[in-house]
Amino acid sequence: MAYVDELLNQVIRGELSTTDYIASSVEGKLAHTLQKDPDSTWIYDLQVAQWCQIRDAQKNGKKLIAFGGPMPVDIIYAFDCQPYYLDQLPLSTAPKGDMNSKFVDLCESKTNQSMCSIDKVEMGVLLADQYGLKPDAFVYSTVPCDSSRIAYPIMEKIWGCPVFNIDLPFRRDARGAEYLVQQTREFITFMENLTGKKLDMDKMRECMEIANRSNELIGKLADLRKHTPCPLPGMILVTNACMSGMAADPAMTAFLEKELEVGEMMIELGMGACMNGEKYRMLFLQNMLWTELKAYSYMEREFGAICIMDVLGHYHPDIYEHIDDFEDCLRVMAVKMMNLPMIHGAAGPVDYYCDRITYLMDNFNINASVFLGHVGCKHTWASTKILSDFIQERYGMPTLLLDVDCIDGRYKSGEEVQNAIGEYLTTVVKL
Amino acid sequence: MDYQKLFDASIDKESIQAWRSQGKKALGVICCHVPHEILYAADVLPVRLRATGCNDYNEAEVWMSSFSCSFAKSILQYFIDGIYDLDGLVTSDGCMQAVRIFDNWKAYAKKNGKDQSLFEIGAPRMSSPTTKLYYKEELKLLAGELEKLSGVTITTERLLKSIALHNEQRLLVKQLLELQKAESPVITGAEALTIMIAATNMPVETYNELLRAFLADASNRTPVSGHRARLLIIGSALDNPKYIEAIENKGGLVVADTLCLGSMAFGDELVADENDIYASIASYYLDRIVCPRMIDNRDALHDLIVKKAVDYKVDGVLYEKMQNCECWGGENTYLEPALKDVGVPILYLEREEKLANIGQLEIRAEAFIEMIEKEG
Repeated sequence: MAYVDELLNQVIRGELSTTDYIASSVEGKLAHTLQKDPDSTWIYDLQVAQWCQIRDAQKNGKKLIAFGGPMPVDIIYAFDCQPYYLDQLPLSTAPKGDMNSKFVDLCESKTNQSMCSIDKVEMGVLLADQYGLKPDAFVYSTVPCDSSRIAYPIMEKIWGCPVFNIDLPFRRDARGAEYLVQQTREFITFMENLTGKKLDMDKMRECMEIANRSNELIGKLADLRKHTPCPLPGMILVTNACMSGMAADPAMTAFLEKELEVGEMMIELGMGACMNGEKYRMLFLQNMLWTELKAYSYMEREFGAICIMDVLGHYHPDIYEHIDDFEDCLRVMAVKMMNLPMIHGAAGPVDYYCDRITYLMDNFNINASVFLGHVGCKHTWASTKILSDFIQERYGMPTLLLDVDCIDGRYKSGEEVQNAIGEYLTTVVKL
Repeated sequence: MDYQKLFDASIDKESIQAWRSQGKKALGVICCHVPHEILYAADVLPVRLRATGCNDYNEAEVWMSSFSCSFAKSILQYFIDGIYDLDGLVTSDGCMQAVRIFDNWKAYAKKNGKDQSLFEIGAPRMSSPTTKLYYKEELKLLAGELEKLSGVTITTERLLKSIALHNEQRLLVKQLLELQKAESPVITGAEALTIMIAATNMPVETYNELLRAFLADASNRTPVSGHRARLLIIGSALDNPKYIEAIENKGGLVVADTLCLGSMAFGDELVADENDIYASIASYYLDRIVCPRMIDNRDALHDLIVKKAVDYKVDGVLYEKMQNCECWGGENTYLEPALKDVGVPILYLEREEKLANIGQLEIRAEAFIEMIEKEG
């Protein structure tokens, strides 16, 4: 008898909020794993921490700060508030077909079909009034893209809570960093007014130290993926997205430590994530396929093909070097905002995208290039010839261009995607 | 004076060639956040890029994919086709597609050995003292680059003169728009758009002269009659008067617009503080409402649209959106109820740069006109 996710049906019927659903689901998975495979609970610990903290923040007297795009999140932690990185919502609902579709469709009824489905879900859930919470503030930046610039101002109006915006500079240079430093100072004032308390510098330093540890770990984890065979599966790259909202959260550090431990152990054992041997080391030029993460396991198993890194999800570890010099830390925060996944490659001139590809190509022993292009991400699609020509000329490597909707699985099934990539690898790349 | 040139929607290569034949530079401009005043003060002709009449953008699509906005692709196509023979390009990050026109233009030029001077400025998407300061510095950097390109120093006098010329243009366009308020205007909506897009590729003095002549003669024109509904057109970049003509052929009369290649490209007077002209320009361009690219102007944009609908006594609003144009993708949510409050219905239309589905447009426009005519 087929398993029926009754909670999911409640969300579809509008009886349960997405926050409650996701938090309950990951709690359930954790409880199940505790019984069946206690060594693997670390995989769910991070998700439980993330979603339960969001769900329970206001009950625990914390202010909940919804945010989108690059924001100085470490400051939110320093004010003892709970950040809610909105992009985590569609990434969590993406594998839940019908439920996800409900929110996509609802948003399309008010906006347009071509908009990015990440934003469609974020806005659709709000239109359905199924966040199950109202943030105490909504803070967002002017990037990543035109889609978020449609959705967020509308969401701001619906929520009607205090709002703060940061304008990300087009060019990522020293002047741009200073521009962000000034806006970060204004953000601190905003947070002080919101919470009614001054920024506690001891707490700030504590948060920055945790963030430093998370950044060190994510850097080491990226280094592990340079190893051949790659010790960690492609699927786990999706957790990089958590760094955008949780770098200063001890749960993030704990997760990364465990992931590093597992990766190092795999290397020690001479094992890789591809159980039948690693053949293809793929660089995904855009995003992850959040709708069908099992496609990554399939490709690893069937083709010996592993996603070594996704360019837009690649996390650049930036460290607060002088933690007692807050001016210097503000500059690091600015750089962090400019280096945030997705923002670093896609939200400015295409040269930054090429730079990121160069770094990954030069350091990760890549032998296959795949542009798994989210259809909503039109500005990255508009750079595909530049990127694929760049890779062909510099590395002599062709690039597969494959259109997908990373959030709305109705666009193309996981099977179709994995088979298209498989055919490409076996007939074109042919190693 | 013969002002017929104002009624020619095609891209005027002759004006650009004439300018360049004097040894002066002409640069393409993408989007409304590149102040023409600064280019002109450097003796550089700003050519606001459009792609009127582009029916085949296959080669550009190879560069920009089928998921891009066809307005953007068509501009790139016109560069590939040599329709735009310019010294280079200046863009701001108006929208993400504008950015990619620049990137692909640059890549295509490099690949094909075309020497191009390329400048990109960051235009903030919020208006605040901090963002204006940043933008001001961007404009000063641009001015420096333009000086190097043209060999002309942008003095205060030159800037003020350029601002005065552009303010005169704004004033003249306002007079043009005023004509449309009449119950039976002397110009159609298609004609008004044609006149406005003519400003994109000729020197501002020439345009002002032609428009002045037209306005002086306007009262001699035969008023438009027989229309069944007055319409306001809003939405994505629209540079093809034939699109409006198709609607007007079905009984509508477009009497107002909020198009970035129409009335919004001009705006109100730019008041310059001689002590800090760049600050004045930065402030003007960030405060001026053009489109939903800014994240903090939605209410003001909607108020402006509603006010226009009322001031021009329209019976309905046409909201045309280019496929894959995100900027104009979400205004319905709040605009539709706001227009409803003043009793103005809205028709939502999707389109492409080429007029491929004109028959469908005519049918939908006619049905809408019939509906609002009855309501009227």
